Amino acid sequence: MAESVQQIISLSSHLHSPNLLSETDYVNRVQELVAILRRSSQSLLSETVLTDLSPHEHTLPYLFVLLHQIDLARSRTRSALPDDIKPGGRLWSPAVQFLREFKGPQVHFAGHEWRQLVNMILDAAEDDSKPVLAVCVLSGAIMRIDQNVCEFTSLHPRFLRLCLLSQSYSYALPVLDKHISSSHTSLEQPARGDNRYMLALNHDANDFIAEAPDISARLTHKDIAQYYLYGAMIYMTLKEWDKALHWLSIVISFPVVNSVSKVMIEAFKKWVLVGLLRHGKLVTAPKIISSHVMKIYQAVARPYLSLADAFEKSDEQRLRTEADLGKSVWCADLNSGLVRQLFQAYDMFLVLKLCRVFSALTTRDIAAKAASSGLVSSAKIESLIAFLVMSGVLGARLLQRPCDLSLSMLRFPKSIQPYCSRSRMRVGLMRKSHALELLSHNCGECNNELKIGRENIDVLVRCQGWSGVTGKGGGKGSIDHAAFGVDEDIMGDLS
Amino acid sequence: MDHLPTDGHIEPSAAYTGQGPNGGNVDLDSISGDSLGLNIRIEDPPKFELESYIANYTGRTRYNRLYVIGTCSTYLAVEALKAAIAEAKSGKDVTRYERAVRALAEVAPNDPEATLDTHWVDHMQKVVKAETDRLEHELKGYKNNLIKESIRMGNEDLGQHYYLIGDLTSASKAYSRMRDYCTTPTHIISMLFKIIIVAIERGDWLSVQSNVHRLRNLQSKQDEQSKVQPKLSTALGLSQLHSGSYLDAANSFLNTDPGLGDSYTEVLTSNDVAVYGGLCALASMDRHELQHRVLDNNSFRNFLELEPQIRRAIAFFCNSKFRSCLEILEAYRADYLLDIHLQRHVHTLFTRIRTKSIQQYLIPFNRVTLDSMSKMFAPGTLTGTAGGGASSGGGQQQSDADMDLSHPFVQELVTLIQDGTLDARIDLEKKVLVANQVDLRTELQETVLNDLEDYLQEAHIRLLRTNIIRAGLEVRADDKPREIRGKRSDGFGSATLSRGAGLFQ
Repeated sequence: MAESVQQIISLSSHLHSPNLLSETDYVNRVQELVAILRRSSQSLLSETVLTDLSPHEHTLPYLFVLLHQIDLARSRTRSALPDDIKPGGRLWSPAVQFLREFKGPQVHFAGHEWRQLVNMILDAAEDDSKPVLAVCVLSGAIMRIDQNVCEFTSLHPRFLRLCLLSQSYSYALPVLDKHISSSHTSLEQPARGDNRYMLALNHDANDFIAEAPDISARLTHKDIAQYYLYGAMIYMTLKEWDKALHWLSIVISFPVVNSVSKVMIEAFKKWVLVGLLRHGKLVTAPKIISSHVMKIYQAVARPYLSLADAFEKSDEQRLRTEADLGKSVWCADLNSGLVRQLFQAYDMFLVLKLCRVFSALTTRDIAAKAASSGLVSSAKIESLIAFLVMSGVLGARLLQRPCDLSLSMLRFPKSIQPYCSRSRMRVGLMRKSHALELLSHNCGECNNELKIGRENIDVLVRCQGWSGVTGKGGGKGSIDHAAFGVDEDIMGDLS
Repeated sequence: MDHLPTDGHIEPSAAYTGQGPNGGNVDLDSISGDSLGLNIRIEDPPKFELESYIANYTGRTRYNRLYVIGTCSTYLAVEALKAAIAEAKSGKDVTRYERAVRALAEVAPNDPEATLDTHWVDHMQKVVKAETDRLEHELKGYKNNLIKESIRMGNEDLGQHYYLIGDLTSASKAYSRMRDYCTTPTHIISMLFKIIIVAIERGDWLSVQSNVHRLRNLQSKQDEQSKVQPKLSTALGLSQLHSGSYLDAANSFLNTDPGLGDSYTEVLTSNDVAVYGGLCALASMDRHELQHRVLDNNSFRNFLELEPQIRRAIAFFCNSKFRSCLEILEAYRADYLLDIHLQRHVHTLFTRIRTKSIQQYLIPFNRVTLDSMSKMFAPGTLTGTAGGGASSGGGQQQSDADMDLSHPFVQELVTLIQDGTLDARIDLEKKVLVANQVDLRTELQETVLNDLEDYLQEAHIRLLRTNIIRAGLEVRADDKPREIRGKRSDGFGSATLSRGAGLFQ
C-alpha cells in the first residue's frame, strides 16, 4: 500500500515539467493519475498526510486526500457541514491553501472533485456568514483555473452572489473584467453549456466531451442569466453604469422560446433605472428582443416606465410623485437604492442640458431654471456643480464674483463635446481594435462550429432547393445571413 | 395706444395653442361652427373694407367668410354678421341662417335682426322639401327612361340643389353619381370641378387632391387646359396649405397662371393667391429661392402687384431687413386671421418666418449681442410683450438690465436652441449669443468610438445569443434541460438541425 502512495506521488511529480512531455502524453498521464486516485481505497488516502504534500506540486493527490478527510469528518459528525471545514476549523486552512496554490491545468481533469471542494467551501463560508473569506480565495482560484479561456461554470453565479452578499465587489472584478475583455471566448462555453472544464486546445476538446457529462453541473438558462445579472449589479454598486447597462441588456435579450424568466424581468427593471442614471433617458432596447417579450416587459414594469417617462420629460414634480407612489414596488424589487439615486442624476442632467443652451450663466439663473427641484439656493447649486466638475462629468468653470459671493458665474467650455485628447483617443482605439479582433476570431469559431461556411451553405441551399438564394455572386454573404437569421454578418462587416 | 395692440397680439396666439390638437382635423364646417369660431378673438380693426372685400367673392364662400369674420373679429362682428344674415336669407340654406342669427344674438342681443324670422324659416323649409322631392322624382323618371344625358343632368340638378341647401355630403354623392353618365370630357371636367368645390367647403382636402389629379390626367384641348390650370393649381395649393405642407402649397400657388383673374371667385380671388403663395413661400423657402422663384417670377408678379405688402415683405426678407419684413406681416396679422383658409395657419406660418429670420440673421455672426438681436426681433413682434416694447422704447440702460433669463426674447431663444433650430449658445455674462464651433475632427473621432462600442456590444449580444440557442438553453416554460441536451447531440453540427431540435420538444 505504501508503494501505491509512492507511486501516486511519483506520478504526480512527473507532471511537474509538462514541457518535457508531449501534449498527449501529458494528458494521458494526468488521466491515469486521476483514474488511480478515483479507484484507490480509503485506507490509502487516509494514510497520506496532508502536510506531507504540497498543493502546488501534488495538486491532484492533495485534492483527493482533502476530500477524503472532509468525508471522514462528515461521517463522524453526521452533518453535511462539520465544524472542521468551517472557517477556523481544522480543514479550512488546508482547503484555502489548496485553492491558493493548486495547478490549474491538472484540476481540469478532476472537475467533479474540484467542484465538490469549492461548493463545500462556499457552503461553509455562507453558513458561517463569513462569505468574504471564501470570496477572496475563490477570486484567485477562478482566475487560475482558466488562464487560457474563461469558461462558464455553475460556480460563476454562486461566486458573484457571494461577492454581493459580502459586499466585496473588488474581488469579483478580475473575473468579470476577464469575461468582458475576452467575453467572446467565454461565451463559446455556455454554448457547450454542459461540459464544464474543457481545455481550449482544440484537438483535446473531443477527449473531454466524453468525460465531461458526469463531471458537470447541469447548467440552465437561469445560471447564465443570473450570472450576468449579478455581474451587472456589481458594476452598479461600483457605478460603472456603461458596463452594467451592457450586462443587463445581455440578460434582457436572452433568447426565449415561449416564456420570459423572472431573472429577465428583474433585469429589465434595473435596466430602465440604470439607463436613466447613465444617459438621462430611456435607452433604446437591443433590437434583438422580440416584440412579444418587449410587451411582457412593458406590462410588468409599468411603474418603472412611467418613472422613466417623468424623468425624460424633466418633470420634477411628477418624478417625485411617481417615486413616492411606487415606493412599495421599489422596495419589493429591491431597487429603492437606484430610485433614490435618480434624483441626484436628475439634477446632474439638468445642469448638463443647460450646458447645451448656455455658454455662461449665473447660479441664480440655474436656480430659476430648476425651480421645482431641490436646488433652491445658490450654495447648493454651487456645491453640485463643484462635484460635477471634480468628477469630470462637466468641463465647466465656476467664477465667483468679488462683489457678490452668493452669486457665481458658471462658464461652460467652448466646445460642447467632451474634451477628447489624442492619447485618450489612441487608448480607446487600441482597446476597441483588440476587442474587435477577439470578436472576429470568435465569430470565425462560431461559424466553424455551426458549420456555416460558404460551401456548406451552398450545399444546403442546393439540397433544400432554395433556388432564389443562390447565384447572386457578390451578394451571397448577406443573403446567407438573411436566410439563417444568425449573426455571421459580423464577419462580413469586418472583412 | 401701445398697450392695446399688444393685448390683441397675445390673445390669438394663445387661442391657437389651445387649438393645436385640432389642427390636423381640417374641416371647414367646424371652422364656421360655433365651437372653434369663438376661440379666436381679434380686436384689431383689419385693414380691409368689409363690403369691398366680400364683393370679390361669389357663391357660398361669401357667407362662410362673413361668418368667420363675424365670429372672430370683435370690431366687425355686427356688420359682418348682419351681412351674413342677409346673405343667408337670399339663399335656401336654413341652418346657415339660424347659425348666423344665433351668433349675432350673442354679439348684439338687442338688434332687431338677432331674432329668428320663423316665418321665413318655415316657408323656406317647405320650399326646400318640395324641391328635393321634385328633383328626386324627376331623377327616378330619367332613370326609368335610361337616357344617359338626362340622368346626368338630373343628378347635377340634385347635386346643385343639395349644395345650395347646405347638405354637402348628399351634394358630393349626387355629383359623384354623375360620373357614369358623363359622355364628353367637358362633362367630366365640370363634374370634377363641382366635386372639388363641394370638397373645399367640406374641408375634405384629400378628396380635393385626388380630384385635382384626376383632372390633371384628363386629356383636353390647349385652350381648355389654360382655363382649367389656374383653378387646379389654386385648389391643390389650398389643400396643401391645409395639410401643412407649405412648400408644396407655395409651389402650387406660384405656378398659378395669372389668367385666373376672377374666374374662381366662389373659392378665392387673385389677391388670396398672392397672400397664400407669398406667406407659404416666405415660411418655407430660403432667400435665394425667394428671390428667384417669387420676386423674379413674371407670372406671379401679376398676383403680387395686387398685394404690394407681401411683395415688400418678401423683398425685405431677401435684403435681410428682417425687422421691416416682420413688421409688415405683423401689421397685416389681423387681416390674415380673418381669412377663412389662412386663419389656422397664420400662427405657424408667422412663427416659421420669424424663426427663419433669426436663423438667417445669425449666419454671418460668430457672436451677437442679445441687445442688438432683441432690437431686431423683439419689439412689436409675436412674443414682444411689455418687456420687449419697453426695451425698444426705453434706453440702452434698461434693455441691458432686462436681458436675463426671464426676458421673453431670451426665453424664445432658449426654446429655439433646445429644439435644435439654432446652433448657438447664450452667454448671460457678456449678454451675447455665441455660435457653436464644431470641431469636426473631434466629433468624428467621438462618433467612431461610440459606433465601435455599439457595434461591439451588439455583436457580443448576438454571439452570446447564438451560442445559448445552440446549447439549447433558451428560456422555456417547461424546463427540461436534460432532454434538450439529448436532442442537442443529434443536431449538433448543423445550423438547421439544431434549430429544429427546439421544435421537436
